Amino acid sequence: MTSSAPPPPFLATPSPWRRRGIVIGILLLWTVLAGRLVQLQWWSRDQFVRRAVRQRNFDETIPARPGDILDREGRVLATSVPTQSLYVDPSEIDDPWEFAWKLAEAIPIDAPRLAGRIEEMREKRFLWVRRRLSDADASAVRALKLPPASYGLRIEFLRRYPQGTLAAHVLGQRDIDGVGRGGIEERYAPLLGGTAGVRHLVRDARGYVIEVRSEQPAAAGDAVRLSLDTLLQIDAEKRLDLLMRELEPESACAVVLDPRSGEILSMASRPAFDPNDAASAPVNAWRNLAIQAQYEPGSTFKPLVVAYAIDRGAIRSEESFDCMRGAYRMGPRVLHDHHRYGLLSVDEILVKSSNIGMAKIGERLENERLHDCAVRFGFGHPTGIELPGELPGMLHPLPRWTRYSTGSIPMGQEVSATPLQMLVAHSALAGGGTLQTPQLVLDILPRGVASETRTPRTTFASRVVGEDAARWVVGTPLVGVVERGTGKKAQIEGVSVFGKTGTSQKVEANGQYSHSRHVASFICGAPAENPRVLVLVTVDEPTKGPSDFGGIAAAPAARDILERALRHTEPKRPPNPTEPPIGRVAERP
Amino acid sequence: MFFRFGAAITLLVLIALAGIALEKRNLSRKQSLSLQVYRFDQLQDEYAKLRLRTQQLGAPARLLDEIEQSRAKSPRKVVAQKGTTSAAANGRRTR
Repeated sequence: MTSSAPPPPFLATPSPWRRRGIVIGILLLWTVLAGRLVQLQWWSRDQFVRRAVRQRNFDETIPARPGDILDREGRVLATSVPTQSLYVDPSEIDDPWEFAWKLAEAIPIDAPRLAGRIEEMREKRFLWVRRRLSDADASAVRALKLPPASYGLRIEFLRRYPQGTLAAHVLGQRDIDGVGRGGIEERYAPLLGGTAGVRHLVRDARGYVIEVRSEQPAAAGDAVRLSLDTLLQIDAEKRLDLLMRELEPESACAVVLDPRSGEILSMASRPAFDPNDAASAPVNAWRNLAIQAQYEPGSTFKPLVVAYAIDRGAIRSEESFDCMRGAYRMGPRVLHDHHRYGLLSVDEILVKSSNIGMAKIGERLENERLHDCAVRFGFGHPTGIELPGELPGMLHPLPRWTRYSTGSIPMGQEVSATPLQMLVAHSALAGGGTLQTPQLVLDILPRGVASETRTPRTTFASRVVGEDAARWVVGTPLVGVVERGTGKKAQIEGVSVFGKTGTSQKVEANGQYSHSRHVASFICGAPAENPRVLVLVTVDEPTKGPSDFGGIAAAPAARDILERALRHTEPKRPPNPTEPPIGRVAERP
Repeated sequence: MFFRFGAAITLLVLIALAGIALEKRNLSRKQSLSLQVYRFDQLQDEYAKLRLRTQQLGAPARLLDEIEQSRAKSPRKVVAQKGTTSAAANGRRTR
């Protein structure tokens, strides 16, 4: 008997419906796959190609080396060194706390704060941790061997000022992003900054660079050569420091200028700041007082009016004026002098700084010509120096002038000016009557390389008064001020110094002139026959010392600076062939 | 037939090998150029750092301060040294 056992279930013939179902399922699966393939390769092709290219190709910015700032002798005032800045990719960090504590072992950072920031920015791909690390810190970070995708070191330039606080207000400084703030750094930012380059890189799937496809190198910034003389700047700043200790004023400022060329040789303000450590600067230290402080010039304005009046024929240099024994009524107002003077010559009016004498000269000129005088000497307009933030001073338009103005303007009231404006106006007298734009930048060196030809610059020069009037004012009354007038403390042995003192009252909050708060100033120059240096010192509210008059508070400092400046700018003697060189004994005949 | 085929294959292989050699040479040149650029950058960076250091060390303000300080100290030093030397030379004690 044969018994046929039923076939096992897996050998059982599937039902036709099941077979059809399987076939249809497989077909559907293939159709879906083919459809997806068509979608990827056809419809979404561009999108995926773009994404792949973005993942593979990478453009790296090559930072440009900022240009240096040099003094007139080529000494470096500002330069840049490359440093590395640390950033992280928060989305690549699994445990922010562990990561932050690990980093804190290498560099001084606040680990809990960093961990918190990483947690906050988990969706972001970039977060600065510490900018401009030292070489040792950068090496320490690398030695941690953190996951490469989680962090990076980017090259950034660190601006350094090797001369320290010297000329800080002129140079300005750079912020954390390398943007120039104030001074030459801001004014010449486009030239100093250079042009960043770009490197086109190809990366593999893990982010490692496998090829540099092309590179456009960065163009270094141009160097700027200033007219400042570092040695003279040091002298001026040291003298201002001494003045600040002795007189304890709110602030003080000194500017040295060559009246022949209009070049600024030194420009210093106190209080000052260290551009290498700008965060430690006091709040009141940021202003460059030479161009950003306005004050009523007081008596230093008088020589300008006298020169203008002589040039326009309103007065004669040998003329005399009755100074009314110290009190003179001008309409409703009574003017006073410090001493009771009678008949004074024009020369003596300036030497003794008589307000009444000046008011009488003002009456000869009248408001219209007084206004013209102030405008021609550059008041009410910035001087045009190559620094940002220069104030124009204040000169009311002529229709706003009153009868008071006729008496006030000639003695330097009702008009305010920056120290630089005053110095430039006086340089017009010292330079023979021609007013010219002050110059701070001597040359631009393309990529820091000196060229044969100097970069041309625009200067404006206009004749303000005739040469005779200017020479007379400088050579007679202004020399007299120093020899026998209010500026005796500026005398230098063997040198004919000319100058003018100024003591102006500050204006109180109620609009009245203060009787206790003064700005003392002194402008002097030498040699009177052919001036080559002009110095201005202003002292704002001196609180100590014998007096707050310009001749006492400001003149000694101006004298010291002038003496040093004359030594620095002394024309070099041609070598004398008969004179033995230093260090060699002359042969006996 | 085989000879021709073999020659063609050999030619193709030789051309391919020459191409590979050229490509390798090109890559090595690129590599050395890249290395030179890197070294140049490194030297420039080093130059900038050394220049900054020399400028800091030779800053007139710093030198003047040091000269003034040494001037202020030196007279006393000279006197003291002279006194010690002469006393030692004479073999006497000084008070």
